Amino acid sequence: MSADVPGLQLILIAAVTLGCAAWIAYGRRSPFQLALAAGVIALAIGGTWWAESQASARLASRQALEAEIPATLLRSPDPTSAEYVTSDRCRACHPSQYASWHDSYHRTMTQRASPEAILAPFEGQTLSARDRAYRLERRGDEYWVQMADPDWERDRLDRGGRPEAEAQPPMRWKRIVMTTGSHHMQTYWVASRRDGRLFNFPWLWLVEDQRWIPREDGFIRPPDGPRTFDVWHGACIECHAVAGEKNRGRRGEWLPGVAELGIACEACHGPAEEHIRANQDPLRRLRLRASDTGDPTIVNPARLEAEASSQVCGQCHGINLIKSYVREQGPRFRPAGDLRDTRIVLRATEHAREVEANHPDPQRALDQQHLEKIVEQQVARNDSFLRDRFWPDGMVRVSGREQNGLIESACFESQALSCLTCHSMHESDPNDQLALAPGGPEGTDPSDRACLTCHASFAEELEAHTHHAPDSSGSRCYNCHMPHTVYGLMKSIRSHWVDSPSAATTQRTGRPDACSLCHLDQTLAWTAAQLETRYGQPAPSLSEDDRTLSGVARWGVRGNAHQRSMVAWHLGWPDAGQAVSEDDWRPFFLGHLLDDPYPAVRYGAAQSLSAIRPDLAEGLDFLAPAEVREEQSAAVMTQTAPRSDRSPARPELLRTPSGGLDQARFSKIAAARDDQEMDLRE
Amino acid sequence: MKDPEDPTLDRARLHLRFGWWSLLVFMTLGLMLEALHAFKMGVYLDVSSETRRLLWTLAHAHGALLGLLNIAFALTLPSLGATAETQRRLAGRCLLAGSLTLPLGFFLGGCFAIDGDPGLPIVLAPIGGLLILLAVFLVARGLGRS
Repeated sequence: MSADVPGLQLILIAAVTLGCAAWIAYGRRSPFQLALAAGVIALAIGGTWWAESQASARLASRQALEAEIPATLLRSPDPTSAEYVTSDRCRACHPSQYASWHDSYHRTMTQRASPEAILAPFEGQTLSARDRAYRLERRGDEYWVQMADPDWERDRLDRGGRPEAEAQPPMRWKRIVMTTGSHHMQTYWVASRRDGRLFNFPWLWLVEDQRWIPREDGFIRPPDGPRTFDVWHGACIECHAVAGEKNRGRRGEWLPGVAELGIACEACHGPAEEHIRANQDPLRRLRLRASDTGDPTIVNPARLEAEASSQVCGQCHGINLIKSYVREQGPRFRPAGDLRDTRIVLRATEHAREVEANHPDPQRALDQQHLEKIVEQQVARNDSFLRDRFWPDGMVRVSGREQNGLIESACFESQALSCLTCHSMHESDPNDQLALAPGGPEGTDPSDRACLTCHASFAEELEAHTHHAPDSSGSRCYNCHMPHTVYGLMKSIRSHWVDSPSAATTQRTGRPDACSLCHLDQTLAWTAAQLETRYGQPAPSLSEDDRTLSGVARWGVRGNAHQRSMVAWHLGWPDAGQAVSEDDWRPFFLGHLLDDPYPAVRYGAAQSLSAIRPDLAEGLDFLAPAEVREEQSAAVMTQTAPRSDRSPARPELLRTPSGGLDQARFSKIAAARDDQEMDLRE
Repeated sequence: MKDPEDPTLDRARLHLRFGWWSLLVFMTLGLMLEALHAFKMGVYLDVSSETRRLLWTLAHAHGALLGLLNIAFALTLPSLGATAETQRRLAGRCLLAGSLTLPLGFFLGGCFAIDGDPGLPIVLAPIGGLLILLAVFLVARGLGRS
């Protein structure tokens, strides 16, 4: 049954139509009968011609698209395992799970280019950045871009050249064949004309802002760094599709393949062919429904132990390296397997290294040596390898790597915590996929319940534990134990290493603690005193800066790019806003950050200013030319600078004893900004 | 006593036969569709088969209902005594042709469906629909005269 047999379809139409017409006209014929018979034939011919012309055009366009994207319906590289069947087949038996997945951003992570998938406008506009112009065009249901030939660019790059430096590159019209992302931002792919490679169209569409930005400006990367030339099979294919593989053809050409685009059912439940085959038997289905045991032909992460369940998510939401022998010959990780059999989970904490190195399993110890070697090599090449991914104490600092945080948490080590403690893939809001019906004591804040399930005693005396009003943001478990110390998607994101605020850790790592992130106008000495008084935490020995500089001055003015981006985001965070008095000191510092060298910091500052002082944020553009940004920044700072006659004296906020701005101190702190290059690898 | 040569009687028998056979065929089709559900056949249940599933369901429902319509037509024929034979004959032929082409259009359109588009034989469905409409009109008008 396929539309590849139009001849057979035409024969069937002709036979039925002619039979009908003959039957109507048969016998003693009236003119009306003849006209009716002729009308039937004419209708059939006209209808067929119209339907065929419509279908042919659509089919040709779709086939051209299909031919350019990585082959789907991948056969399993592991001959002993079942094959992938795609989500297409899951709905028949699991309609509600299919529907909740269909509503999720996992499904739309990677899609074939189509009017439904593409969120950005392609209406004839021209985008320009780094001396390159890109002309966008929509042709019916197809999306096209005129750009420097990506095959030519790649060839230059592979030969060690700098294609972006070439003034006159060969230009080509390329069809957009695939999209990645749909929640916060979306990026697009064009196909090589030689093999199965897909090249990234180097622009991002920001969904909420409804604007295009150069891809490099969507990340914390050195502001004047080189352009990126991402290819789909480089890294994206591993996690933005089901069972992505970097295959090569006989002549060494790239022929990447996936089981399904996007993160679909089989990414978490494993290959389903055997499951489907077995359950075509209605009696088996009845037996399984009557019993409480799971179906052994499929993986249900909710039935797995906490560690195995978290590894299902961690295969993508973690920093891990595929072991070299696996990369070459498989078998790959399958849900319910041990991720460490096929991947080296990168852990940068000393504790983790010690545990792994002393593991009784010799293979595990070998892996650890292998990991050390890899890290050493990477560090030798680029000493920022670990810094760009982890804080100095080993806490992961980039988004999308939640498993690296989770596995360092005490709750995880006691096997009480897995991803599914808080998240649900099928009963949740697609936004963060937090479970709609978490467990835990009734009558408590829903966001606290996952924690209170085990830590029930705090529910009785919440205020005594938090020292904040029970209904305030300071009493929410995750605000203190999962602060926003991770960067990604142009904002700060919660850390998934569940820990407690510690002034000593802040001092040692430079990572602002939860207290300081809400009370950015306070010094670290203040935080240390609060933690000592309230929780008996010994105060560390503090430097002059720790005692005299507020968080906003220390990290927002003098910190590194990641710290500055955190401050920029937290200054607009409504939960932290509850801690701000009438003397709103935030806009002045946001004004300063509007002229930061890193676009991502400027973006955060503009967003925060727009949230707390929309009157000051009109017309701000974080990608405006330097002179415009400087002017805009100065205007906001001038309007919001502390005034001697109105502002209270707060030296930690760089004010004079009379309350005005201590310009000399401010300039000194700003000049001492930590400008080490940061390239956070989300 | 009825005239055994009366064409109305022959026509009524024809429509009764067609109606009952049609019921048998399309109820069997319904049973087959249920079996496709029971055995979870991808060709019918997969997301990519959504159009096929819709069209085959329509074929089953329309085929069975048109079978009933043919039986009703057979029972109505004696009441169309005052209508011209030409009109009665035309109504009968349109009804029969439509009862064949409409469900067949849905069924074959489903057989050749690809993604969201039905196969080309779907063009038979509107032709059948128009023929049935014409038949119903002729019968309704005939009953008004009789």
